[in-house]
Amino acid sequence: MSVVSAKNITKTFGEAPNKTIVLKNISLQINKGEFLSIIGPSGSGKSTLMYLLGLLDVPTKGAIYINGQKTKDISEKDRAKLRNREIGFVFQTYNLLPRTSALANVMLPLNYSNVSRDERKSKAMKLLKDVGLSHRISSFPSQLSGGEQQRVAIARSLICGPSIILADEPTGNLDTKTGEQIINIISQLNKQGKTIVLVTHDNNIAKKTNRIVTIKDGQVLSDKKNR
Amino acid sequence: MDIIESFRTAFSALLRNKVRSALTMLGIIIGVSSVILLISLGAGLQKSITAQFEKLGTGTLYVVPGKFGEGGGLAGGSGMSTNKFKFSDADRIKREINNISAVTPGIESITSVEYRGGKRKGVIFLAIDSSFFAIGDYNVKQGRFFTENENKNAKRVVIVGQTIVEKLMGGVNPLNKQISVRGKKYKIIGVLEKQGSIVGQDQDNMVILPAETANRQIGFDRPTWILVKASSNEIIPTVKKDIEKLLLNRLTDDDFTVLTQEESLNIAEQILGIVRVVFVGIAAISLVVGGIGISNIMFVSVTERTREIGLRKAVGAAPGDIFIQFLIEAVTLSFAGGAIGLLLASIGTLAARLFMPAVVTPFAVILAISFSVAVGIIFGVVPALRASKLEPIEALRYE
Repeated sequence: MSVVSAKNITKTFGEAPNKTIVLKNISLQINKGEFLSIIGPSGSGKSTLMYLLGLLDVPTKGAIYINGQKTKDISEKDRAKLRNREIGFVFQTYNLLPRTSALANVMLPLNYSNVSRDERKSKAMKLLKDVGLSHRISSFPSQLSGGEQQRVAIARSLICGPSIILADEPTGNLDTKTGEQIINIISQLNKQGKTIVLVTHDNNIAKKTNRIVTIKDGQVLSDKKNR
Repeated sequence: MDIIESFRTAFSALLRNKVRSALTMLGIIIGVSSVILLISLGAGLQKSITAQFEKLGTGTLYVVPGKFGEGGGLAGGSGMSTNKFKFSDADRIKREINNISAVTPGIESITSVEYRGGKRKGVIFLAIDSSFFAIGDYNVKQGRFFTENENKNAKRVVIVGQTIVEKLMGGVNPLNKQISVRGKKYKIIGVLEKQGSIVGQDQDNMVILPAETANRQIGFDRPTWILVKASSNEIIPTVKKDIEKLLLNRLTDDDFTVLTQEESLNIAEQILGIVRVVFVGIAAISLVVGGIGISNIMFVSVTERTREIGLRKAVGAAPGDIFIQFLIEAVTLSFAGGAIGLLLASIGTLAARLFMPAVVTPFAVILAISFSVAVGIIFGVVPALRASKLEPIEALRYE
């Protein structure tokens, strides 16, 4: 059964004559437990595809399905609820709240679901421990290294127990060694059963995933199983 | 979203920009503190004015020079400068009006008083005959009042208030000492009991002379008021009409006004009302300006935190959650301003208690809180709406 799927989606920006077609009639099914990478040169539309899959944006045509549920024409409030419960985001620039502790950053998504503060706290502590940051729970993002910040972001993406993790160039701002550590954490999560979509332009990183979808000029160029 | 968490977020956001938050609150602080001060001082002023009138007992009518409008209005008042009263008017009232228990004319002025080279300015000067002591609520602490005989013979005697004894005479036993009023010496025969202040005016900074003495020594021969005491409250309107009729024999309608206690209070309240309108105007303007300041700073805050808004939306904040978060921030700002304003007004009121019985009423507190919260809501809505409508994807990409 697919966790997230895109059916015949097209995404355009602007109005004619300045209309840009970013994605052309793309269909994609992501199944439970998959570790998939979306690869392509910059401007190919891979990030746009990821944001559409993550319900951060709405396709011009076609529809996104989350756990079989069609998300077309649902309210912004319901989309927010789906993002909160079903999707975890990891961004290239981490997007942690500044001047807010690592712990509070990880707890953030749970603020938008009905969970008591104590439970939020204990869940966040556990996740920070899992990513090896139990000694830095009260540190602010500015006091953390890039790799540590990205680990906080990964812990945050997991806190609501999402069906899928969407990671957009998670190693893009990191050096090779730190990047590898982050990829290791992500593949570890996949081994524990998480469904993961990784957007990258780096072939070496894509090779570590189980399925590689190549996008070019807004279309799927290839969709191959890896190992 | 957890509402407590919203408050936590609002507080930390505001504390992050302390100076900015404080400056933004300034308008609200000024607005709220002036509203509260107005209410508490107004209540105090009213209390002390009422007390002043009550001191003379109920059933008192005031005959004053000049014309006040009907129903105690302030129309005209042009006759104030040309006082045509005579002491004989009081005698005629006493003789010819029925159902009155007392009549007493008096001259009230401001003078300077000297004692052994020391000088005191701004002293309340009162010239009366002995009948006043029966109406007015004055008692001597030391010595005695003057007698009617002393008045008729224009004896150079004086009764002084506590402030004269303490501040001018350095606390010596004042009885039988000589003090100068308007350059002439008078013997102190009595000292008044302490009266305190009314509307900020020290009632113990006072000298009382016999009216006839004032007439002969200073040339004050026109009473500035005549107090008439009716024998009962029900009879007041009749007495008022009778006095008017009698005085019209000698004076014109524009030369005098007979005010009942109620009408005098009305005039005082009308003056208070004007002060009140001015204050309310100032308060309203500063609340609006304060509100615009809050709006402005909230727009800045929304722009600065566009990425934060995008992220919050990405991790599950609905538009309503973002709206509430920013609205709470605006309300927290204005509420804090209101609380500080209330605090300042309370300090001001405490200071004012030195002069009048001012008090911060619960009504004023509720008003301050609801005003400031309302300003926060009204001026916070538009920025909060803008924040809630940001597209998550656009917000996340915002640099």
